[in-house]
Amino acid sequence: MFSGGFFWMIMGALYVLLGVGAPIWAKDLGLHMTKGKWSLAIVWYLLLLLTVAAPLTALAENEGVAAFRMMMVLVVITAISGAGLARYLMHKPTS
Amino acid sequence: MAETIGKTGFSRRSFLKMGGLASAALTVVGTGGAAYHAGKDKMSYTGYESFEGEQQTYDRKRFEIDGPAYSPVGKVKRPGSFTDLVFVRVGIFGQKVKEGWTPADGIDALGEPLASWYKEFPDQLELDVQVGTVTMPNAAKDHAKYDDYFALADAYAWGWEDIFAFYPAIPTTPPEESDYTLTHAHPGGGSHDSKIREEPRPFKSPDHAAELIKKVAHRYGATVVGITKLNPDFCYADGLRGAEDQGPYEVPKHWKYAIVVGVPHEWEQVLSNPGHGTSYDGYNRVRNVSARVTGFLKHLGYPSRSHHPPFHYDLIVPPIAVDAGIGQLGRHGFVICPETGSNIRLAVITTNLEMTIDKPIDFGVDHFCKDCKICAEQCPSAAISTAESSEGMEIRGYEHWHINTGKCFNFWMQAMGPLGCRLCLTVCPYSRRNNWLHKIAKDVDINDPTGLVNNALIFMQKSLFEMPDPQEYLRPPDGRFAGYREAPEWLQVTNYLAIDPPNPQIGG
Repeated sequence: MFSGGFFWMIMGALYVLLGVGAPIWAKDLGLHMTKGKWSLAIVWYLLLLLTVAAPLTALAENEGVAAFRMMMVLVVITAISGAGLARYLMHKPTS
Repeated sequence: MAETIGKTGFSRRSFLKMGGLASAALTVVGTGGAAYHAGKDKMSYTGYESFEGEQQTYDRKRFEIDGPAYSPVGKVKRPGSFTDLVFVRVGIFGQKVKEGWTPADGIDALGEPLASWYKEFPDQLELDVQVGTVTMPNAAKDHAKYDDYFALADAYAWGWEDIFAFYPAIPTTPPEESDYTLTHAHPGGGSHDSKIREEPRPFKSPDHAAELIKKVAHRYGATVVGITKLNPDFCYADGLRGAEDQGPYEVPKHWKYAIVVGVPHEWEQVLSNPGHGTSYDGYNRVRNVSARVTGFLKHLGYPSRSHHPPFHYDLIVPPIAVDAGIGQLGRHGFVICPETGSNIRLAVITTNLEMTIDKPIDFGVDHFCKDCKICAEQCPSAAISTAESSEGMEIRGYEHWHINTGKCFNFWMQAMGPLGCRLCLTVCPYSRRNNWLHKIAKDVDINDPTGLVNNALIFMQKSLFEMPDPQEYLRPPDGRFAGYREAPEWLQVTNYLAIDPPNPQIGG
């Protein structure tokens, strides 16, 4: 189910939809996105994917303890960086 | 209104917005699913089932180094097949003990070459005495008590091993004769020998020869192949197979080139070393490849000889494999290759076919091994050095990490299951399957000149991944015959056999 050409075709379509939908959200939320801000958002999104993917791969390799420890570390990093990124993106200059 | 879809009033903008949000969630779920699949995927069992060369994935050109991989730092001495090769040494020593030798008789009573060797390494004599007086009697008791628990692992290993007796045949004549002789098998049984062609089939160039030999070796089942000129320093000094005189000998003139082939062990079983692992799958497969390549060369008219596991060698393999660019020597004495890490079993074919040789490679193993030490820390017999570097560890004129073979062999004999240990190759962080997680880690590490990734990976390996205490690998009551990881389900006897044997691995 999670491999093969059809799966990655669907995933590709979803990534495109995400790419198209994200600017609309940014506009509606009143975010003044720049290239730098988009880059940061993409990096954070990749970190989120890594937070899900790395522990699950380790888990599937029967490394349950390593998967759990990995997840704990990554969740904390992703949550803190996500909160920081959100503050930065929503910050409106006073002047 | 142009943006609305049908009669729902749902605008295209809203669709893209909600679709984007849903996609964000679905891509996370999909990536998670793909990641889980990657961890389970048998296609990540690098090289276990060879894909005709496609598993030799690393572009070694990027990591090639000029010059020889090893330079002598002292007086070079060729290794002794009756002494430095621990299996043979302990076998000969055991025979002497059977014949009545006791330590009270003194070292000289052992005769040559053992006497001189034990005088040089007196600690090894104590350890070899221990094999017969302590380790083997204990092992006999343990096997009587726990063999049933390892029954499937034993049966699986013997299934690989039992054909050792038949193929390839052990040379019974010197290389000048046997390397020039073809053994033709008859389809109905039996065989006959004949000389190889007097005029070998000429190759267009050494490049063509190397290219074809590699293609053929991969098709015969090799995961990795490399070619080098044979350095005679790495040939045994005595015990030439097939020679009447088993004393010192000159390296045969036609052993000009060495073709090194390698295959890994099965990836689930290898993690359950020592208890449920085996060497025999790798041994069996690599000796088949080696014998086939030898046959191929002989049919083209080139004399050749296979040097393969378990101990059918006239040479020591690791330095030759390093010369051939297969990988680098690790702290534990195994060659670490970029594709499969330490999980690689090697064989060598010596021949006079002129081929373009490969260069040694440096992908950072020396630096990694200096910092890592996991193999040394996990080794239950403390046979692997924990020193900060191999500097000053001169062995027979060359500098490399020192392994205490006597200590290693004592645990090797103590371990339960299908004989031997292999823990050092198992715990090596390079010995990981070929999925995205380990491939990224390896690639980033190899390409990082600062060493920061190296240190981060070692830290993660030690802090995230569970490892038994080295004591746990020992026999009860000191240990519990632990495996590095649990046996794969297909080797657990209670899953398939109607028996319920005592399980030493529970501990407590």
